[in-house]
Amino acid sequence: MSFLPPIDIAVTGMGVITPAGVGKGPFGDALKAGRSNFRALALEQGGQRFQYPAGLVDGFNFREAISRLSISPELAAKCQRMRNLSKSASFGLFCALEAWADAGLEEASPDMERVAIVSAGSNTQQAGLLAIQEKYREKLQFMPPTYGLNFFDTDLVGAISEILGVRGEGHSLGAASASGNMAIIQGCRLIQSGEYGLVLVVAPLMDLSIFEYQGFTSLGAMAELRAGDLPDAICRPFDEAHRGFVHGQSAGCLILESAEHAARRGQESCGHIIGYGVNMDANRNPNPSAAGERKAMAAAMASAGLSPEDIQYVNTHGTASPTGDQIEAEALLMAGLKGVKANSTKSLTGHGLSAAGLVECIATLIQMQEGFLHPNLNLQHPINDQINWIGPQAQKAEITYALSNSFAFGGLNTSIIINAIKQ
Amino acid sequence: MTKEEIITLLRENLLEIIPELEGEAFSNDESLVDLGANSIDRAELIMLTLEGLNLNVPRTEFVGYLNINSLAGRFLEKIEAGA
Repeated sequence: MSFLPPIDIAVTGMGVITPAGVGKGPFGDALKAGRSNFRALALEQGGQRFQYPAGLVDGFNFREAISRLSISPELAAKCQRMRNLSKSASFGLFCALEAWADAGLEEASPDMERVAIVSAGSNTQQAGLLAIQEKYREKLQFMPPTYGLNFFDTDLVGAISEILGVRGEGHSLGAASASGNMAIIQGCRLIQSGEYGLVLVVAPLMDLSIFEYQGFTSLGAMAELRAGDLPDAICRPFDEAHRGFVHGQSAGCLILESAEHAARRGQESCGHIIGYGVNMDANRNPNPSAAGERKAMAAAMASAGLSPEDIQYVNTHGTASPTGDQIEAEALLMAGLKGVKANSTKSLTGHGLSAAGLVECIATLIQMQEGFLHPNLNLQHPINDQINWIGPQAQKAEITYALSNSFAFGGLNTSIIINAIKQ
Repeated sequence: MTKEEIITLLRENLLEIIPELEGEAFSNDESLVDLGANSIDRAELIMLTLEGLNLNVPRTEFVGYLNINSLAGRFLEKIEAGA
C-alpha cells in the first residue's frame, strides 16, 4: 500500500567528489577497482593533538579543477571570479558545474525561471567557520563582513544561482545523514508538482571541525583510531569487527528533470528515480529502528509499483556502526529483501554524512550504467548471511531496479528506488 | 603613517578583493564602484584596512568615501585623532 503517487524523474547529469575519486569518471574507476583513501587525520586544539580516521580528498583546488571541466570560457571565468567560497561550498559548486555540463545544459539554455536548486545538509561549513572564528577571537572588531553572508548554508545556493543564472526557488534542506536522499526526494516533489521542469540537487562537503570529530567520537558513533590500526581497515560495514563510521569528505550533484523536460531537449537520462519512502521513528536519539527502516523501504517499493523480488540491488546505508548495520540487515529481511545483492559505498568513500545519500545515488547510477557492483571493502565475516553481500572484488551485474537507503539520527528514514531503464 | 602608506595598503587590499585589477592601471580617484567593487567588496576593503592599521573605528565612519584617495584621507584623520 502506498499513499504516494507514482513518479518518474529523469537523472540527466552527475557531478561528484569523493576521497576515492574527483569527477564522475575517476569515481566510477574507483568503484570498479574498490579503491579507497583513508588516513589518520591529525587536528590540534588547546595545545593537544587529536587523531581521527578519515577518507580524505587529496589536493582539491577549486580553480584548477574548474579549468578541467567541459564548460565555456565565459562560465569558467565567472567561477574563477567567485571569492570567499568555503571549502564546503567549493566542493558543492564544482559538482554542480560538472553535473550541469554532464547534462548538456550549457548548450540547452533551459527556461531558468523553471529551474530550482535544493542543497543537501545543514551546518556543512563547520571547519571553515571555526578557522575564521579562531582568527578573530581576540580582534572581533575586524570580523570580515563576508562572514555575515557566507556562514549560511544557502551561500552555495546563491553562488550556483549567480553563476548559472537560476531564477526559480532555492533552499537548503537538513536531514542529518539522510540529507542527500531527502534532497533528492524534495527535488522529485518540486518536479512532480509541476512547478519546475529541472532541479539541481547538490550536496556540499560536510566540512567537520575538530569539535564535530570529537563530538561523534564522544557519542561512540565514529570509529576511534587505535595504535597499530591500518587506516584502510577501520571502515568495515556489516563486518563482525565493525566499530563505528569513518568520515569521508564527499560532495555530489544530480540534475533531475521531468521526463518531458528532458525529452523536449533530446537529452538521454542516465537513470530514473521512480519511487521513495520517508518517515520518522518519533525518536530524537541516534538509535535506528528496523520497523521504521522497513517501512521506508516498503513505501519506496510500493510507490514505484514494485515488489521486493523486483529489487536486484540495495545500496545500503551501511555506516559500519554495529547497531546501525545490525538493524539495517534486519530491516532488509523484514522488507522481503532476503538474498538481495548489496554493498556499502561507505566502505570505499567513508561516510559523507549530509552528502552520503546523494553520492550513493550517483554510485548506484554508475554501477547500473556500467553493469557492475562494487566491492565491499573489509567485509570478511558478515554479521548476517541472508543478504548476498558483494565480496572483495567487483561483480558484473545487470541491474534494472535498485534501492538506496539513508537513515539518520533523530529517527529519519529514507529510501529511494532507482531505475536504469527509461520508463 | 603617511597618506601614501595608507594608499599603498588600500591598493594592496583592493587587489586581494578584486584580483582582476592586477596589472591594470587605475587612479586613486577612480570610484570603487567603477573599479568593480560591489557593496560587500567595499565593506571588506574597509575592514581589511582597519585590521591592517589595527584601528578600532566603526566601519560606518567610512560611509560616503567613494575612492581610494578620499578613503585614505579619512583613515589618516582617524589615525591622527588617536582612534
